[in-house]
Amino acid sequence: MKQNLKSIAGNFRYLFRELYLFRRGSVFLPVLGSVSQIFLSLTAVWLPKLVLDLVESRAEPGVLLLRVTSGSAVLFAVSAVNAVVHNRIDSCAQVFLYTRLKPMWEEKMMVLDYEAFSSPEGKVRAERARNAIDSPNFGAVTYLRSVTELTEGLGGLFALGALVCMLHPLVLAALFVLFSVELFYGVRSERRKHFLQEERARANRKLNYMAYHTRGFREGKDIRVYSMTGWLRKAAGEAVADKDMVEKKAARQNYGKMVLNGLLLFLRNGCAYIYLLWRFFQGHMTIGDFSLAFSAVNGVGGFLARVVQGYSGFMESDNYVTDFCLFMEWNMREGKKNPVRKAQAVQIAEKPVSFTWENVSFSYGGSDHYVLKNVNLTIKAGEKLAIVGANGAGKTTFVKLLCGMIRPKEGRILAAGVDAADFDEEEYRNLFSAVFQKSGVLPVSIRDNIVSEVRQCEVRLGGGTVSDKREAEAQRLGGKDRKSGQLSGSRPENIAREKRLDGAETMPGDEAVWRCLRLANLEEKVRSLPEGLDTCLGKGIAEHGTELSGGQLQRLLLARALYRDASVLVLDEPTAALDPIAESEIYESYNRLTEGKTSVFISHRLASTRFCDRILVMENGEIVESGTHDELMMRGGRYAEMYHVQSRYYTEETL
Amino acid sequence: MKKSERTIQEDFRLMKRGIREFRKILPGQMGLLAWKSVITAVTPYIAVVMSAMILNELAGDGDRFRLSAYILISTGATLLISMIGYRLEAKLAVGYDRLFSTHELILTDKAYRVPYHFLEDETVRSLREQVSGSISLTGGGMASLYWDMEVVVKNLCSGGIALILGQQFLWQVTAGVKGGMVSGREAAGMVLLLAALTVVCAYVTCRVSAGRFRVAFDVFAQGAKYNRYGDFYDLRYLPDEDMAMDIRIFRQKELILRESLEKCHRVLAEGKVREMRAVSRLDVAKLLCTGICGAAVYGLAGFLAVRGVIGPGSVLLVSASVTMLINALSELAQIFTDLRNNNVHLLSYFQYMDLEEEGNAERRTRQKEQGGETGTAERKGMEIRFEGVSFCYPGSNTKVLQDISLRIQPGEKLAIVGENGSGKTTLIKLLCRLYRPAEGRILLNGVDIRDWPYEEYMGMLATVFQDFALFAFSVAENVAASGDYNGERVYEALYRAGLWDKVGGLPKGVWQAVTAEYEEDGMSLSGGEAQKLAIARAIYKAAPAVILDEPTAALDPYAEKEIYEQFFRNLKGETMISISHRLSSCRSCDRIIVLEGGRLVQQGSHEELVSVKDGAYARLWESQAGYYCFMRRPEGQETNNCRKGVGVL
Repeated sequence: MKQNLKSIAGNFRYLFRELYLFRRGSVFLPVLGSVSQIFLSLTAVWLPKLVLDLVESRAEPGVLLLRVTSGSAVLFAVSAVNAVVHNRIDSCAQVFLYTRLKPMWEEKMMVLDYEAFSSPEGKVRAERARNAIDSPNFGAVTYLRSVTELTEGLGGLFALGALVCMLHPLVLAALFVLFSVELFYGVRSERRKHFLQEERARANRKLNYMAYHTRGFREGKDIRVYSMTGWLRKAAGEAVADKDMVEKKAARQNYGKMVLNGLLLFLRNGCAYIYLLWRFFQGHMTIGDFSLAFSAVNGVGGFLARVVQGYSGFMESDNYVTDFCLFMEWNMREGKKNPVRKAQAVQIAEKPVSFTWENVSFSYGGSDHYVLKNVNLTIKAGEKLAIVGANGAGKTTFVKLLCGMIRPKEGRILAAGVDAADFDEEEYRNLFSAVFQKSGVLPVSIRDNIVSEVRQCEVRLGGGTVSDKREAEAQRLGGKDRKSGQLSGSRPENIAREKRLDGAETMPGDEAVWRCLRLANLEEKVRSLPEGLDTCLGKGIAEHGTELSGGQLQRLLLARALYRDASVLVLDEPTAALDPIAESEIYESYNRLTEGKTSVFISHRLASTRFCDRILVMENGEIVESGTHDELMMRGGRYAEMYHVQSRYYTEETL
Repeated sequence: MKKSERTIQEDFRLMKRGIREFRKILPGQMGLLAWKSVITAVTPYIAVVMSAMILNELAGDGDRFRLSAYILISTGATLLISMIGYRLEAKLAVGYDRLFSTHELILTDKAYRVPYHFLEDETVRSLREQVSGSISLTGGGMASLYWDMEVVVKNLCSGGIALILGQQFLWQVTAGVKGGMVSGREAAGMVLLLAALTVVCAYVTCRVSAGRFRVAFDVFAQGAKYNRYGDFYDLRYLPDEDMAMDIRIFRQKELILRESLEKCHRVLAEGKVREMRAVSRLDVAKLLCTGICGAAVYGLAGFLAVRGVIGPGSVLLVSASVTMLINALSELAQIFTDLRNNNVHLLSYFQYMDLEEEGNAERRTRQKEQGGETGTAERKGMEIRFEGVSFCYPGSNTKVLQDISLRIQPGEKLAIVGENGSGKTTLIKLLCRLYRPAEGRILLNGVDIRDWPYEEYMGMLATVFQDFALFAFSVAENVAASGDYNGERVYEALYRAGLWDKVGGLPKGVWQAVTAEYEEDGMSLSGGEAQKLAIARAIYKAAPAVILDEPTAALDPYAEKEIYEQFFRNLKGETMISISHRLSSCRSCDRIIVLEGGRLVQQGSHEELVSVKDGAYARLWESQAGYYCFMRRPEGQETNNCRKGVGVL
């Protein structure tokens, strides 16, 4: 419970801090909302009393009209303020979600330590956090609203409670007794609902899978050729039935609770009427008072229900916020104690880099299954290294370790004689450029895909980091905040620069892009596109997105890797999707591509390895052989065997 | 309000069809909802009417017996009616939560049935997205219809009751005039003023709130487009382990943040702000209007009450009735506009649901002409003929295939090779009836494949596509592509695909789900394993024709060799068509055809083709085999024994 309270307070602080940074005035919205709501309900019960009293006192038409009009004017004013504030709360929450929380999550996804990111725990956390901010209608976005509702409920309860108390304190006490019964059963049914939650999530997942994940054209082909329609339909039917079963259970529980509420309401109103009549006949009240008192009793009931509802709504959104906070605050990177100085890192990056692996072992998570075992290795500066091995031999893990995506569990890796762990992560990664096995492109222009990194420099030159821009953005959206004018006004050159860059047809640095496209054999294709480098990729996402074929995609990725011009080039199966001619073109230009770089080439196709200075053969996480092609063939070990398997199809004797 | 191009009759027809088709989504719910709405409309009136009567009684005689009766009626009737309401609600709750996903399920079910090329067609895809988006983003389309029905019924009831109460009020006033408590002229003026105010107020309110919907409609009309970006980044790109490496190495962070903010989040946020501003303005206008009306009603009714025409409780009753009547009228007008606007969504829903379905349209008349000739495929006796087949993808003018004529003998092993983009996969897609040739035709045993019964034709092909899909069910179900499977055959298929070792070692064996999307304990398959599973599926099908589109790209050389050997060894006279970039696998084929730029440029056996110097095939072969041929064997002997024309290196 204590833990719980702490986390609630923590969440509250976290979210309101962000909200404050996002748009200062917003944090007062819930207060304003509750105050206006309380006044509204007070006015609403007071106005009928006013009218009734006027009627009972047989007021003159003029007085009657004046009083009634002013009463209505007050009601209008209060309700108008209330409506505006509540609309504002909703929109503020959504804008906050879109322009602050979502970018925050996205940024976290991108800066999170890779190992943590790819761990099962990381995935669960990330997914839960995403789920929390996914919809503009539920999840963390309701936090502001539910905080308002809760304070509203409590405030209104207090105000109307005072009114009822004036009647007689015991009335209030009686109301609370009734309410406690309701609350007791309410909480119990909430808890039961919670038990159902898991079952419901499972049913939803199945239903969503059937509805959303079997509709694509990739699935479409197999569904048709293998006549799966009947099967999938049956599965969908089962998913629906499962879902209905869960919902039936939930509805049954809820029904019980509602019936109880109905009975309590019956009891409350009956008692209230009887008590008030008794008071009336004792002569303590006017008709207006009677009506006011009855409305107040009803109102207290209403607010009590609101508090319960507000509480469960709050707890629900608080859970989402917890999911979000847990992810955002998870695995925060601490500053390096002895970071290699930037200047030194840059210096290292300028020349081909050598690597030394000392007893490097790696296993995922807490598993004692080592994916890499005791790897000792020296990669000379400028060496062209090839790695071969069957699937699952640890090649990809090797690459991840090399690029600093993951860190050795035992042993260490030295880059140019400096322990990789001493580098700033960013600086270390600056050493590398790569085409990974499953790289993809973004739905942006070809240019942006290739130069993604330079863009960032432009932003930096412009003076603001993205988070600054985001704040300015948010304030712009906030509209009337006077601060915003100053903020964005202070950097007009920034905006002008961005505009110029976006509008221009050719940009500085395009020559370098073309050069890389040429090297990757994609220049002709891109030149033939009507929009050239501005051609947007990502069919189905960008409005006029172009789709590249597998081979073209691979070449584009190669061009991107070349553009980065890092001192180490890693190519992980870059030719898998290429046809033989394109593949051989890449092999032939391999020396040119890797000129002056240390390079690591991973391939299933052993033929490719002949361009490399040295070949490592990996098996079960160990380097079992190492040497040139000829050396390894002479040895007649694993490499020779693999080579034999592959080449026999190309040679005559085995036919 | 934007003028709709449809007449009211057309709109009603659409709504009627919508209500009819809604039954497919949530059967029976529409009726329950209507009853529920009646209850919702009646409930508040009970309290209002009864408390007015109690107040009147208090102001009048104060008869205790009557008072107790009123109290009993008030509370008892409320209890009774709310109990009925709860019952209905419990029933409604069962379907309510799956409204969106069932809606989607129906669309997906339709996607199973339309001709395949619709799935790749950009216009159909955006239609689908529009339909899905209309419900998930704005709650439009079928959802709107459903919710609006509730509002319609509720307000019809509520307005009706208010009118009845109004009539009661009129009687009281008439009685008052007769009793001389108020002059006829005064009374008539007041009643007319009240009526006029009610109508004006209702009119203004509904005009004002129509604007509210227009804003929401405008804002979300484009929503799907922006959400595509958001979904791409948040659901696909960022959570992907492989892309995460790209992001970190290529420092795409700023680019992605900018893109997702500008192309999605900010646009949506701006839309929301615009909506909020408009909604606030409209809300205030509406409140002002009801405020004025409310004051007038209190004033007039109060005046009548002072004169003793009506009881003091009736003042509150009149006021409440007028408010409810205004609400009902404006909501009805508003919902009517909304329903008419919503028909845009319904139209796209129907447009999607009315898409032509596979098999229905195709066989049509031809079958009649050809009589009983179709549908008699002798298994394993498949002769496939391409006659001058050309093809270009819809919406493009580039011919992906040009004038392909080809005859595939029963039981032939055919390999298709060619550079990327030469049309290999398209050829397969045509053969699998996923697309129709633009020109020419494809014949199976002399009958156009389009004239074969769809299911029967598909039953004869076992295809492993390059981008095959597995489903989140058990291994066995995936292999059998069905919920019912033969265990022994599943085992055999898995064994032959080289996946048995892996599957046998799973905690649940063949019953393990292949991804965690459906079952929590689903496993994750590597690329190679997934490919093997897809191959096992083709083996299980035991169709007379096996088609493989680069089935081994994700496999290492050992697995590749294993699979090919298994395949060839186990073919029992089936026709086999395969595409591979690894030409080595073509050597065991009877015939190889070479595509270049959509044309069939060469065909023949490996030996024949390789001997054509500078031929397309020879070039491909040399570029790949060359590397293997120049090298030395461990024994030290020259192994330059590749086929002729290998002297390239």
